[in-house]
This record gives sequence, C-alpha cells and structure tokens, in this order.
Amino acid sequence: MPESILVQVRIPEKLLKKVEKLCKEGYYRSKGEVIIDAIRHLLERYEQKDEIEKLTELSILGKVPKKKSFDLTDITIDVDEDTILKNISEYFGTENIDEIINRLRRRL
Amino acid sequence: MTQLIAIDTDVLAIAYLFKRDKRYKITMEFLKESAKFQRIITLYNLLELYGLLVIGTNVQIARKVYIDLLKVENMRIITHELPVSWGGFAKDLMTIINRKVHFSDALIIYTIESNDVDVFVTWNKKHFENKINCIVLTPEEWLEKYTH
Repeated sequence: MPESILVQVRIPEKLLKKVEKLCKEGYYRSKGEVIIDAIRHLLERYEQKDEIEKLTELSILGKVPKKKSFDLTDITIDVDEDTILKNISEYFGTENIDEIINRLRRRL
Repeated sequence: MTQLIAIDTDVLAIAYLFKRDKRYKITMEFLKESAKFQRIITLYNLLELYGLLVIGTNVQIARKVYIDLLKVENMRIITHELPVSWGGFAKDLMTIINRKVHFSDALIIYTIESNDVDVFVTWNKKHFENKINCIVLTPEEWLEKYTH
C-alpha cells in the first residue's frame, strides 16, 4: 500500500453530513475514502486543462507568470504582411479593419 | 497616477495584422506608452482578436499570440461574473442594449462596467461614446491627454 500521511482538515458540518450520507448509501467505505476520491477528481480536472485554458483562467485571476520586460509591442507574427492581408481580404472581402470589426459585431 | 485601461480589438488588430493601416504608428506608440499602466482586455475582445489572427495567419500563430498577450507585463483578461441566472443576465444586457448599443458591443460594455475601468481605448469611438460608464478615447487622444 502506498505511504499515506495524516492531514487534519476542518470540514463544515453540512458538508460532512453529505459525506457521511455517501458512506451510509454504500458508495464509500469511509469518510476518508470520499475525501481522497474528491481530491483525485479535482486534480484530474486541473490536469486535463490545456495550456490556453490554464493561462486564460490564471490571467483572469491576475496570476499568470509574466515574461520580464515583455510588452505588447514585443509580440511578433511570423507571417508576411502580404499573406495576412490576402487571407483577410479573401475571407472578409475587404482589408479595412473598421469594416471588418463592424461586420464581426454585426453592426452592418 | 493609476489608470485601468481597456483596449479594444481594433487597436491590437492594427498592431499585429494591419501594419499598413495609417494608424499603425500611433497605435504602436500608444501600446508603448501605456505599458506603465495596467492594461486589460475583455475575454470577448481577446477571442475576437484570436478569430482575426486565425483568418489572417493560422491556428498555431493565433495560439502563440494569444499566449504571448497573457504573458505581457501589466496586462490581463477581464470577464464579468458568471450569470447567477440567465434571466438576470438578459435583463442586465438589455439595460445596455437600451442605450442603442448592438449586442456584441453590449457584451464588451457589460464586462468593462463590471471591472471599474477608467479608460476604454478604441479606434471605433462613435460606437461607445456616451454609451459606457468610462472615458472613451482613441489611441491618439490617449497619447495627447496622458503623455504630452
């Protein structure tokens, strides 16, 4: 059996009653088993998030690790301007950003 | 001086995709000068920019730019609270739409007004002026007001 460490945690009474109910109903053999399963599920949920999902949520919380001295003007795109405008023009029928935004926001 | 600046999609789109636009130079100057302030972008604007990046470049580059944006110093995403009820959310959005604002703009306004933003910087000023509870400036006006 893998080594386990005793962790003491205070649980709100209401929550504990629900945990006990799961045991009485036979889903788990002990309260500890419920808590371990809940932690396992929680960890799985975080592990399944991809980079974009994690960074978006961390950014909303203001907790994304920042690149030092990295600013908006330092972001580069490795595609030449002619290709970008050709792609945009083919899709929107215009290269005018104001018209494109109007169209995206369905103002037209 | 502290200032919370929200940036509209068109400003970032000109910076990264429309470099031949006559407003490119001033847009870049604004981005450079605003670095000392806290900049924010609503999740809706960021996804709108992501969509333009996918169309103009490809998914890999769009993802890279999206991630880069999140790693910029003094920059973060804002959202509104998840709705407690859809009815309440509809009612809140209607309050904004009643200002004669289109639905997509209303989502952006709703997010900005949920976050105590001081200034909204956009090249599309006419769609937001007097319709949002914060100062609306073009990048050019922001530079005149806060750097000269």
